[in-house]
Amino acid sequence: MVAPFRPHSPMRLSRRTRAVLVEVWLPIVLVGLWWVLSARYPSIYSPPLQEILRLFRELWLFEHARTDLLPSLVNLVLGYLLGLIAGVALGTWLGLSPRLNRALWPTLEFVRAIPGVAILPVFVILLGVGPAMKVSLIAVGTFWPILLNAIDGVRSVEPTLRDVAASFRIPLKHRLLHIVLPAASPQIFSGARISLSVAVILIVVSEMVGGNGGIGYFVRSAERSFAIPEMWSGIIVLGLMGYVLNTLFRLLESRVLAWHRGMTTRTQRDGR
Amino acid sequence: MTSRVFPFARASVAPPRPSRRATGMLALVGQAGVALACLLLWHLLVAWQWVPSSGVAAPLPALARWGELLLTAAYWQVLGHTLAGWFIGLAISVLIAVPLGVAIGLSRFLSDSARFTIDFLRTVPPVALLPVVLLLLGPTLTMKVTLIVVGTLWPMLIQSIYAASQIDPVLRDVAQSFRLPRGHRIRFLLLPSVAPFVATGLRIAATVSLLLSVAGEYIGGAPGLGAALGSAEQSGNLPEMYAYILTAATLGVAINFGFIVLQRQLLWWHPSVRTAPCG
Amino acid sequence: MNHAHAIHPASAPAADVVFQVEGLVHRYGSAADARRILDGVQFEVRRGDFVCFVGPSGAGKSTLLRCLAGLQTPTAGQITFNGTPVTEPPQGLALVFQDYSRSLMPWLTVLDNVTLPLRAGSLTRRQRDEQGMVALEEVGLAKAVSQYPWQLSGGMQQRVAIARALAYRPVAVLMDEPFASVDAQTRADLEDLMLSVRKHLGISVLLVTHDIDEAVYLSDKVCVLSGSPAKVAAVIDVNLGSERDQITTKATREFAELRTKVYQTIRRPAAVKQ
Repeated sequence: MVAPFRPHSPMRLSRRTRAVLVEVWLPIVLVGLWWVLSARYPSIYSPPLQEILRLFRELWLFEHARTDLLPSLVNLVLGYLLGLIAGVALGTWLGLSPRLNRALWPTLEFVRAIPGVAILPVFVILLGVGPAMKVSLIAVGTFWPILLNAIDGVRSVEPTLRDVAASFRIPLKHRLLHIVLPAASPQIFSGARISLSVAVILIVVSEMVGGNGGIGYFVRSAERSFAIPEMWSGIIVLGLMGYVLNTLFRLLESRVLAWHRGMTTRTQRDGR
Repeated sequence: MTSRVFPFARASVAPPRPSRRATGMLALVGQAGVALACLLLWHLLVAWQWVPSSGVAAPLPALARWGELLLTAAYWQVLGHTLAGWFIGLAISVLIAVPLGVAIGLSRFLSDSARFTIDFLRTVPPVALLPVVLLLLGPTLTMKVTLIVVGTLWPMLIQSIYAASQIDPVLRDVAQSFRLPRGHRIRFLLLPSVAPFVATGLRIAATVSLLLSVAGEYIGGAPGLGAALGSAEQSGNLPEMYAYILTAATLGVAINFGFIVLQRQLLWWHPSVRTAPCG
Repeated sequence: MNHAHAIHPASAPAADVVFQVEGLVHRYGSAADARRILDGVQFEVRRGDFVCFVGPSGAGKSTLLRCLAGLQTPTAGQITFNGTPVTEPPQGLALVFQDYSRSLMPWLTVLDNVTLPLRAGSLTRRQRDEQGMVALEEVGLAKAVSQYPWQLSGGMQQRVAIARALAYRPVAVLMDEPFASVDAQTRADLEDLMLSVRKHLGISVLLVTHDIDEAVYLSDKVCVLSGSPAKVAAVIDVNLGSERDQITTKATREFAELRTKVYQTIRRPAAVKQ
């Protein structure tokens, strides 16, 4: 029950302020708790938040951000884009070829189920520990969720729209561009979102195992050398990185899929 | 009620059937053919040295080694360790996330409060915490379980919150107008409404759980598949390494398949499971 | 097998024939449990005709329309459109579907939806948009140009679908129960729209409906399908004049008689064994 907006009552909080407060009080309380508790009861593994933040400012703004975070991000984005393009292309093709898709399905399901971590050693042996290994690992890991979601999305294009395309003799190029891909895009974005978390995990894992720089390597080597506050600062960076990437993704998604949101809220409202 | 749809929640419930159960022998033959072709390709890639034999084992030795391993007790122990971590972690996650998530989802205030926190924490890659957990708990089952809980809590929580917000308002009115007691409302309205979404979250979480279990074993050294994989890698025993990779894949497929079957069994009434999508 | 009743007894030039259907048979399923939907359907449509197909549900009307549109290959029989046999969707034919909300693309604006079929041609962007605007004006939706289909009401969405068909500048328009999912008032408006469209643009219209009143009101000829499998039970000429009005036309005695006649034809047991 939100109070109605009353611009002339200073005692009541305006609706907008109230909305913001509701969303931020918990995070603020949690961080505050962390601060107080870690200062009161410091331990080796849980240093005071104050110190972690001090180190964070020292290290990551902006020196290590450049030397460690940036390479990780570059590899991440490269691998992700590769996997994305390959997944959408192949997924669209398979989605439009039901017989081929059906024949490939068990094999695809099996290969997809190989946990990225398990094939990491293979990649290390084949490609060493440099950027090539990381980019390829991420590309492969990103590829699968997108592939499967693209296949699903393309296959479930509204049959009526397919009839429309056929009856108006719309050529293949236009069909793909204006009908198939837009219709499949909500599903593809869903896969892309999963792929994003996979990519983040893989970049961290590959750097932890591989060495040779990157944010994951930083955290791991800090742990190994018992530089705990540094390690925590790195973990915070990882959390922030994940959050920022996700937020950017969501912004992009809300722009591209604005039509979809509009349509589904309308449907939910009308109960159709 | 639906305007603040919780981000990242999955709306569709059961995955579509990939194809109607092999319409005829032809489909089966096609699928087997593709699988065999892949194996053949793998074999040729190694035999012709298109991939370095230092990195890739040939399929036959790998499969042979896998066969041998299947007969050893050690293999099954290793498998058991992985599955133990997987199961316990998942169970704890579910037991925490579902009641908590539903409770949060039913209250507008709580969902608004929790949104940012959950949004943020879910993006922290659980492997980032691996070093911390490893320090605190060493290469043990507890370490794996903790890692898994941290990783799987968020998807389950999000799905449960979303589920609670999707309870059909018409059904809620029905329950209210017939003055159903609280226990009955939970049993006959809340739980069945929430079940499909929770089931989807569970399926996702099960896959993530396996991934984290293996990651914890491989990087952290806790006993299990990942560790066995790592030691095979260290000793340069490629066929064994690949045998374990294949094991991990089979496990993943089996778990996913198992959950899909379970979902269809328990949720036979839900429209997404009832109707077969176009195929 | 039923003959087609001669539509115009006096012979007319063949180029005037838009659709010619002969011996149309369609079966679903494989040999053992094959279900015959259409059994020897036969008729002819001339340029500028407004023909309505009526019949009970499941009588195969939609199947017939899909075969005419080239979306389905019939098991047997010959369909000719503008002199050429139909094997795939032919040039110059536009379709309006029953489920309008699913036949419009939710990610395109109304104007983009209307002009999408024109992209494959040789028109420039401006020409396409102009053609689309003209069509939208015909259906009275000039103001909704940059809105999205799901922002519009059901009746308006169907108008967009009709505009899309019109912008295509077809020879004939096929409509599959186009007004079944709109409310009665909107339906009356859309029916009048189709009459005026046919009058101004001279397009032939083939409309499938289960509503007998609608069929009689709109058409020059009512083609009654009945029996299962379906055949053309009768083709009934409708002589209500070219000026039709929802209130006055439907109050005439001729209208009532025609309606009764159509009804009776449907309910009469299917004439078999000719």
